[in-house]
Amino acid sequence: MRGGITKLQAILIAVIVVVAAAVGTYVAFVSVPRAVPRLEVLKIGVQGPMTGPAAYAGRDFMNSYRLKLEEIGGKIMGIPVELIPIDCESDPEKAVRAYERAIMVEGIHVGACGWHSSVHLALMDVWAANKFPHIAHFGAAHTILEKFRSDPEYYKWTVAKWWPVPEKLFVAYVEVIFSAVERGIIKPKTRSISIYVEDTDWGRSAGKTIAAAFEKRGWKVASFDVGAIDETDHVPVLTKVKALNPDVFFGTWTSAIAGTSLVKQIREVGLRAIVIMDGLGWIPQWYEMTGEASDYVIDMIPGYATPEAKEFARKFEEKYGYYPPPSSAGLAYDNAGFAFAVIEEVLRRTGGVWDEEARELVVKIVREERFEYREGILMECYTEDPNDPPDLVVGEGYYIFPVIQYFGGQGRVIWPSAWAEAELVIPPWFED
Amino acid sequence: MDITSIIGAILSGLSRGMIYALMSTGLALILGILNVPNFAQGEFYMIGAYLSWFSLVYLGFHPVVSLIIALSITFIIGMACDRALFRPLRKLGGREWLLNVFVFTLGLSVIFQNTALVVVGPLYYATPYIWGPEVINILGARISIDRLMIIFVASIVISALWIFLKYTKLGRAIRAVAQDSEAASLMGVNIENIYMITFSIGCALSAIAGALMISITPVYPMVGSIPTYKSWFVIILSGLGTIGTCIPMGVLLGIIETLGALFASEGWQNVIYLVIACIILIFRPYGIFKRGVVKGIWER
Repeated sequence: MRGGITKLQAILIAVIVVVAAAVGTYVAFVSVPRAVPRLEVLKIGVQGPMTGPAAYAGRDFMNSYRLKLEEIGGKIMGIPVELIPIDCESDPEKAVRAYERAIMVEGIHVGACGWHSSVHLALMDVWAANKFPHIAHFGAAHTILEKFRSDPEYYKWTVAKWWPVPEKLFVAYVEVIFSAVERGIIKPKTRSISIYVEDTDWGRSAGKTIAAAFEKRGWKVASFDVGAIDETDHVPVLTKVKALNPDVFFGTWTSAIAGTSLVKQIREVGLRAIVIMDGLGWIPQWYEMTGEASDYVIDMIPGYATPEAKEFARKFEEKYGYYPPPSSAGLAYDNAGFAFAVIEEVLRRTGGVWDEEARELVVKIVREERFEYREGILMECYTEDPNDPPDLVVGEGYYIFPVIQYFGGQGRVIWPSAWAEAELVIPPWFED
Repeated sequence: MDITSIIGAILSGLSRGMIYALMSTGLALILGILNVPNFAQGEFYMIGAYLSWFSLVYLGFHPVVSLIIALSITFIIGMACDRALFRPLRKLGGREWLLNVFVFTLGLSVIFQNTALVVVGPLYYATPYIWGPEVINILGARISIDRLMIIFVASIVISALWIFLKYTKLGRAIRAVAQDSEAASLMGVNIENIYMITFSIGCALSAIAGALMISITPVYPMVGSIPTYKSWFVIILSGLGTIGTCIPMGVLLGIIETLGALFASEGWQNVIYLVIACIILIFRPYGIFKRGVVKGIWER
């Protein structure tokens, strides 16, 4: 057999091939559990409006995340952590582009945080398409839950929605107003409410919730207006509202320019109503923009009540030079703690590897295993509601916001009664 | 709807309209004389607002002083921009000047916005009021002193500009350049200086608008975008490059917006004026106040 191989050589080659295949199979599937190496750097995408009309929230998110990361030594399970900001510019379309870029180009391993409901809603498709877990987005609107319920398996990647739907929280406003009516503190003239909210999923969802709650109690909705998120001249709408003479005015704006302008212009047009301005306290330095026009305004924000919370506020102010707004900076600090704790648990189970299984584990730990975070500074316990995911459990001992009333730039708790520092005070012009 | 609400909306529209008038007069001045469609006009509004906030809130100056500071520093920045950026482009651009400058001012706008983002950050700066917290009652409608002062100061500034253009030697030179730059040059007018001064006046008008608005619209890097496009809308409807007609058109736009919000809803105000704009442009493509056929401004 000139130029060929002998029978012995053929048998030898066959044996070598079989042995190599067997060894290869063993190495691939048995001896080494994973092909993916242990992480060298863990990249966490921190989503939020870093620029644009709600840039204050993005700044607070990043500062709180950095502070929390610094406190845990910059590492999770010994792996250095890099925080990658994902700027949505308060625009869902830009958010989608920025998030896809963060996954594809920046190579983030997991996402966390976020502010707007409309952005949350848009990003749910990005997370689902990429099978990418995102922990604790603040987007609250009811439309998020509706989208999740439309296909819970497909949209499972949004976990621990950090701000519950308005109806779960706004019960408190309704309670405050109607309890004051029952006690004769408020003597309604028209038994009506005017609603003026930002034209976003959050604003509309919040407005509809309040409208339904008041209608259920026999009041009528005198007007329901929506305005652009960055609108600053509300006088025409407020002029119309004033002519309707409502007893209660409800507004909610996530944009600093719109919210503070609205509060000032309510006083300017001389609206004789009890004003609920949900979210005014989210904005840092809001009192510098509104001045005394914010007196008597009712809002709902968490506060720094415990020694740990006060210590956080002190450290934050010392490090960044401004007082941390509880609704953005304070909640983001707990948000970071929750996200880091979940990620640590995942890494502990996977031995420092971040792959498809790790991403699935994020969802499993939070949703199926009902992960509880009790080291927060604002709420006693953060845990996903098994009956209504991805919302958190709301109520005493879990997630609850006190209702406050502002005077001289300071909020006084008026609800729940167990925490109340003062009674609701009716503005003198209401009786005129 | 009661009459008081309508009066209130008209007063609010008047103050809004005077801001549009100030901005669009500056824009029309620059467009009519330099042939520059200045898309960076809003950034001078932003600079004026920042300067006003800084001098009013941070340094604690009187509102009049803060207005003068905003006006004069923006005027100097305008001079520097023309000398350093537009003059070389004018010389090199030739027949392509208009297209070049169109892209150039868009780029300038982005550069100014991002520079502000880096220098002052993305946060908002505002003050509860500029002139005082008082609210005045006019025929039953309430209007804040700040809004009244917008109407008052803008009227004074526009009147002063009109007197300057009509009765001063420099003003006559500017008008001469607007009519025929070559003839004006032959008569000894320094065209380059006129261009520089005109550009700076246009920028200063925007700065005053920004400075007057800081108690209503907080200042942030992108604050000039909406006033810019509204001003473009005003000068397109009133007739490109016609200066005097920007005032009634600006006021008209302001009042249409506020009445639209009053009778329909806040969200409808933009729809209403854009529908009106489309109708006007169909019947008078050269603008409400301009006579003649449609011509490119470079053909005039």
